[in-house]
Parts: sequence; C-alpha cells; structure tokens
Amino acid sequence: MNILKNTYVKCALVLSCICVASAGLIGGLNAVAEYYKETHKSTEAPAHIKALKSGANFVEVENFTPTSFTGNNTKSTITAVYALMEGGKPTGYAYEVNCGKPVKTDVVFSVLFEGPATEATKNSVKPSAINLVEGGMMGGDAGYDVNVAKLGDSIVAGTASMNDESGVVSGGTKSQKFLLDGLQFARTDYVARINGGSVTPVEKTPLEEIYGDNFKSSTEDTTFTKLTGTTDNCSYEITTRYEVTLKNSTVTTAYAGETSFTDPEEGGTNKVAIVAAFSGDKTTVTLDGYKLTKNTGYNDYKTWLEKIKAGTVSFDDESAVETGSTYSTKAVRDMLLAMRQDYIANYKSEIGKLYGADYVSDVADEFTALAATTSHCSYEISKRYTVTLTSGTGKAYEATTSFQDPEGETDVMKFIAAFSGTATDVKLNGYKFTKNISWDDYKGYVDGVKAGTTSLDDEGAVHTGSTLSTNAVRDTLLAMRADYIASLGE
Amino acid sequence: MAYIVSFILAIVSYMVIDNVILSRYFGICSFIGVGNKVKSAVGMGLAVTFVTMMAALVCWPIYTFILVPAKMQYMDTIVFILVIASLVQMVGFFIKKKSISLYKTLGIYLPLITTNCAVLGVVQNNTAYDFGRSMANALGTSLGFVLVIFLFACIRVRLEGANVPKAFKGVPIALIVAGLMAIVFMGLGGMIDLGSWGLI
Amino acid sequence: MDQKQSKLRVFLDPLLKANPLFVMVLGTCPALAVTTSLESAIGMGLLFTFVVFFSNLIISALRKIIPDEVRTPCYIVVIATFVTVVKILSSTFLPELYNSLGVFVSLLVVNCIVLGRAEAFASQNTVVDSMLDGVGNGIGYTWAIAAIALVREVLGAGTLTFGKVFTFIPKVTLPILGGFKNSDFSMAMPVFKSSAGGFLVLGIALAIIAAVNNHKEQKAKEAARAAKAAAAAAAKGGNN
Repeated sequence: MNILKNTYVKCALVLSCICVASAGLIGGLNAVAEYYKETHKSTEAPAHIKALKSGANFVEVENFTPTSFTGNNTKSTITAVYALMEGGKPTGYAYEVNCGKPVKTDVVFSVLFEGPATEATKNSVKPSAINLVEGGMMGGDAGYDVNVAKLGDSIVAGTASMNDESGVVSGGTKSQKFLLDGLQFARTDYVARINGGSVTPVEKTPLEEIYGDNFKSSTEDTTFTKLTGTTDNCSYEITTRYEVTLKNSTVTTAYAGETSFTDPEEGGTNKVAIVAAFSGDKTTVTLDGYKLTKNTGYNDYKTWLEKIKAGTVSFDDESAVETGSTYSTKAVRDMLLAMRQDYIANYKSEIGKLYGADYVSDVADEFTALAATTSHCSYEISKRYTVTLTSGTGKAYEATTSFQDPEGETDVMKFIAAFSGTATDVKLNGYKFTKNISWDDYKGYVDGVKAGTTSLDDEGAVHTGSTLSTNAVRDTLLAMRADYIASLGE
Repeated sequence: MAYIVSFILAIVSYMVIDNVILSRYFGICSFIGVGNKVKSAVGMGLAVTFVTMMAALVCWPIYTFILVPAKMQYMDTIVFILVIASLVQMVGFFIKKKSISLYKTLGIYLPLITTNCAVLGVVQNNTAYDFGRSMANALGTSLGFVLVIFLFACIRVRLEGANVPKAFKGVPIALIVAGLMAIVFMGLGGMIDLGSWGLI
Repeated sequence: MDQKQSKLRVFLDPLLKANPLFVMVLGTCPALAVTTSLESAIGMGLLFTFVVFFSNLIISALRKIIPDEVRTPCYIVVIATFVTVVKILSSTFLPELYNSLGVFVSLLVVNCIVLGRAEAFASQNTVVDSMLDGVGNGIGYTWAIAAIALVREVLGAGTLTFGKVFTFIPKVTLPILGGFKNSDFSMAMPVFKSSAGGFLVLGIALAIIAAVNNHKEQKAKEAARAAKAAAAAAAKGGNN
C-alpha cells in the first residue's frame, strides 16, 4: 500500500480516475441523448413550424413526398406539409419550402395559409405567417437577409403583394424573388389542398416529369388548332402543342392528345391520353419522353413506347407493335404518327426561328471561313447559309469571336446572326448566342441593331458596361454584313 | 497566389474587423486586468499569441483526425482545455527558464491564459473550418489581441493622469474606453467580405 | 443558530455583497456576449448555475482525495465534464438556446467564476456549503447578466422578445421603446446591441455600484467620525 503514498502515483491515479469517470458519464449521457433525439424526432412539428401560430396543433401530412415546381426565378421544393388542426379538422396548412440558393445559402422558410381559398380567389389569398429560416445571403447581420424577412412580413401584413415583384426592394433582390416563387408554389398547393381535392400532393406537370431537372418552362402554342383523325385502329384528338424550353437553352416541341378505340373484348370505348415530347429535325424525329395521363387496363403499349424512346424500334415499323395489347398499341401509334407529322411540318430550324414567319427554307453554302483580328477581337465566321424567305432571300452566318477581358482571360462567344434586305438597307433579322459570357450587356446593343434603333455603323452606340464584349460582337457583325453585301453583288 | 492573398485577408479580417476583444467578446477579463504597464501588456499578448497558435496547431488535427472519425465530437471541450492547460504550463516553464523578470512581471496572468476565453474560443471555432482558415483565425485573433491590449495599455497610461470621477475610477472607466474603442473598430466592419473571396 | 446563519450567509453573499459579476468583476465575457437578449441571458444563467452547482458539489466531495499538486488539472477536468454534460443536455432539450449561445456554452469551462469558486470555496468547505455557494453564485450571476440584458435589449431593440429561445413559451414581443404595431416609430438605439454598447452598459453599471459603495463608505466614515467625536466628547465630559 505504500506505493499509494507516493505523490506521483497518487496524482496520476486520481487524475486518471477522474478522467475515466468523466468520459464514462459523458459517453453514457451522449448515448441517452442520441436515443432521445431519435425517438422524439418525428412526432412534434419543428420549432419553425410551431412558431407560425403559437399554441396551435400542427400535424404532419402523411404520405407526402417533396414536390418541386420551377417558377419564374427558381425551382422551389415543398419539403413538408403540416395541417393546422382545429376541432379535428384542418383549417389551414403550413409549408416548409426550400427555394434554392440565390447567393450563398438556401432561402428556406415556413409559411402558414389559413381559411378558404379557391382558384378564383387565389390571387387574393395571402399567408397568415411567414418564418424565414435561412435568407439566402450569409445570414445574421447581412442586410440582404433582413430584406427578405421584411418582404415576408409585409406580405403577411398585406402591405406587399406576393403576386408580383412590386414589393421587392434593393439589397438582395434575387433572394426576395426566390421567396416570391416559393410562396406562390405553396399557395398553389394550398388552394388545392384546402378544398379537399389533393390529398395527394401537387403533381408535377407531365412535361416536368418527362424532362425532369432539365425542364425550364413551357408555353402552349396558340397558333395550333386541334388535330383530329380517325384510322382503322382508333380515333384520336391532338389537343395541344407545347414549345418547351430546357435548361441547356434547347427548345423542343411536345404534344398532348387522346386516342380512343373500341375494346375488342368488352366492346366499350377505351381511352389513352398521352403527352409526348419530340426532338430532332425534318429527317429524323426522336421521341424524347412521354407521360400517360390516362390509361387502359392492357397497357403493354408502354413497352412499345419505351422501345421507340430507346430507338430500338422505329415509328414506321408496323410489325413491331406488341402482341398482348395490339389494339391499344396501334391506337397509340397512330396518334403518335400524326403528332410526328405535325412536328415535321411545324419544324423550324435554328435559322428559321431567327427569321420567324418569313422563313421558307435554308441551305448551307460552300463557304471558306473568314477569320480576322481587329483592335477589339479575333473572329472566325465559320458557316454561311442562304435562306429563302417569302419576301426574298437572306444570309445567315455562324461565327466565333474572342477577346481579352480586363482580367487577362480570353472570353469566347459563339453566335448565329441572320441578315436580309438590300445592299443599302441591310436588316439584322435575328441572332442567337450559343456560347455566352456573363457580361452580356451586348445583348441590349444587338437588340437595338435588330430593331433598327441603333445603327451598326455608329461606333458611339456601343453599350457601356460591357464595352469590350459589345465591340467584339459589333466587329464580327460588321464583317458579316460586309460579306452579305458582297454576296448580294454576286 | 490567390490562396496566399485570401489567407492574409483572413488574418486581417480576424485581427481588425472582427476583433477578438472588441467584437467577439473574448479575453475581456485579462483585457481589463492588464493595467497600465505597456511592456507587460505586450509581453502577455505575445504569450497569448504563442499559446493560441500552438493550441490551434495541435487541437485542429486532434479534432479532425481523432475525435470526428471516432464520433466523439462531444469530448472536444475536455480535450481542448487539457491541451491548453498543458501548453500554458510548458510556456510558463519556458519563460521561467529564459527570463525570470518577465516571469515575475507576468505573475498571476500567465496561468490565467488558460482561462482566457480567446484561446479556447479560437480553438472551438476552428472545428468548423479547414486547416488554412483555422490557422488564419488563430494568427489573426492573437495579433488582434496584442494590438488591442497594446492600445489599451497606452490609453490607460494617460488615464492615470486624467481627472476621472470617483465612481468611474478603475474598471468602469476602462470599460467605457473599451466601448469607445469598439465603436472605432466597428467602423471597419464590412471592409473585407470573406464571402466574396470564397472563404465562407 | 450560528450554523444556520452562516449557511444562509453562504447562500446570500454572492447574490448581492459578493456578486460575481458586479463586485468581483468575473465572468465578463458571457456578460457582454449573450446579453443582447434577455431570454438568452436567463438561459445562460441557467446553464451556468447548473455547471457551478455540480462542479462545486463534486469538487467538494473529492476535496480530501485530490492531491494538491494536480488540483488545477483535476478541477478543470471536472468542470469540463459538467460543461460537456450541459452542452449535450441543452443541445437535445433546448436546441434554440444552445444555438443562440453558440461557443459561449463551451466557454463556461474557462469561466473565471466556476474555477474561482472551485479553488476558493469548494476545495475547502463541506458539500452542503459548496452546493449552497454554487446555487448562490448561480443566481447572483444570473440576475446580474439579466439586468444588463434587460437594459441592452430595451434600449437596443426597443422591444422585449420572449419565446424565441425557450420555445415552450408562446412568442411574444413587448413593444417598449419601439416596435409598436402599425408604426415604424422607434426610440431604440442600436448601439446598445453592438459590442460597444455592451462595454458601455457594463461600465456604467459598475460605476453606479461603485458610486453606491462610495456613498456607503462616506456615510460609514462620517458615522465613525461622529462616533469617535461623541466618544471623545463623552470621555472629555467624563473627565470633567
């Protein structure tokens, strides 16, 4: 026992005992805490939801999977929905929304909508409480987060509208616009949900499902008239044609239509409705994707659709129709063929889009690339097309231009420009940049040239703010125009 | 090159703009107690610098390579404080050997570095950063500490001769002076936005 | 009777006479950092009381076993243990409080008061006394930082907000100098929310206390002088 009297040993022993005891205590407590966190996590609504209405009973909606919607500025995702239960019935819904990252952090907020709402009264529905969880900038004292919170509070107070951007103040405008998108999406879901309709969450539109994350926006083509047709196999109706813009700036066409045929066994009418997305040019059309919005029991036509999409089977191959649902597949096929036919008829090449309704056709010229260096840039005009228009002819050019930016980097831009008109009055019909840089004030300048308000010859009209890039574009356009005038003389 | 520049900017930011004492509220006890002896104030500042740098250098790897993989992040406080306490002992030992006079002037303040919020505060905050930023934090914080302690000691020398109302003599007037210094440093806020340099 | 008196003394002293913040000027870092909001200050006080109570208890219980040479490391380990315990408990049960206090919960380890009480009191007194001392210091510190927080929040934000940190209370904002409904009017001075304001408020608070003490001293001196003069007069009178 004498060894215990030795001070060093005693010290070491005591210290180590204390350390071990403390480690044990903390380890044990940590395990308990983890266990508690696990078991208590799900039942209660989180604090930022509870804070929307104090003392209220929020119950998480079951079977809700996060849904997203791409608005004007961002894609917002509703991550959770809670029903505000009063007297056993839901009188409102609270949403947890993530609007994506405008600058450094995500804009995340929770919002409570209460009271009746319908599609008709939708625009006058405003939230009863908003809780900004994360504001989009750096949080805390950064002024921008404060403005997002202020916008939310004004919307709740009624002094700002969530229907447009009139309430956005400078200082974090991007984050505020993200907030508006998220609010509008939440409100859309609320209008559906409060009316009992959608116990299932707001679904993505068929086009969003087809294109997934690539989808940016779509518009209905108002010039399209319903296409109906009857074949041996079915009678179909193609109701809508959509112009779909994707995130990578490509534009494609999609159709929605319904085909009906007689059930061979039971004699009734079966209907299949489908949204089909196409791409390609006049010679090769591919089916990018489809979504069945109405189904029949025998749906082996899906296998056929998948094969068309994968390209292993061609539209034109009648024999490839699946057995097992021959009737339905033939009905679907006939309608798709009609859609494809319309697609080809409607197809405008890139160049065609630049000329608009005037455009008839275009053909690539034998053209030796024109390359030169000016004081502002180095350009290479690589392709030239002769375009037939209803009003005459024109020429379109593809070019690449590069210049040194103030940081010493080389910026490269690629674009197509379409010209028409006489030698003395050359018109720029349209342009399209296929490779861009971030300083894009030159667009304002080129738009002016296109509209005729800015003269290409006027050196002073070059837009400040992106003088270097604008001058590069201008020099290239001048070269194109010179070639166009020269070609008119041929 | 850009990394070096951002490193220097981070140091300046932690030193002056987000100053450890005047903005982040660390190290106030020692700050008030420093008195009017400029030399001993600077001496203590340098001792704090050394301890902070060493502590940051040792604790960050311990946290990242031992505690995190073992999922024992909750042990961080205990480990850090033990490291700091031992470092302070070693520094005291070292100073005693090298310069007895400095040891005597530092007196009680040397072991008090262990309880200096700045050292533990820096080490705790570093758990959220990568290595480069944590070293910038440590260096910037300590330099900021020395800077403010030095300025403060100089001001207090003048304060001795000033006609301070009786109630304010000593700690109260020191705090008011600190408040005025804080306002001055507040004006530098926002000068360097670490976020725009990709450091956040 | 005497025993009880002294136990009461042990408990009451840190509340006023030996207040850790206002009299001993210890624990100033959290006093400036978490006092922008009254609720956070009260929360911090709560955690602080927990730590100082339990560390006093354990250190006092072990005081006869811990050898003198290693007493500082031992105290530090014990205190650090309870700070970690408080960290785990608060991050699980009061996550908003934990988030709003941030790194200052960990900094309770180096809080001069905790170490000071351990060194000065718990190592030399019985367990019961140490517990009382712990609670007394806890309450004393809590009301001190709460007072500073009250001043800073009212003057700095114009309103008193409850329910933000302790979420089991409904969130309520009391407009005092500003934050009135339907009005942008505010007499709040944001300087008090910043660090400068913290220094100023604490400095003025200490100055007020010093003034009060000086006044008391003056009075005591005068009373003593008067007593002395009276005694001298009485003696003189007696000699007559």
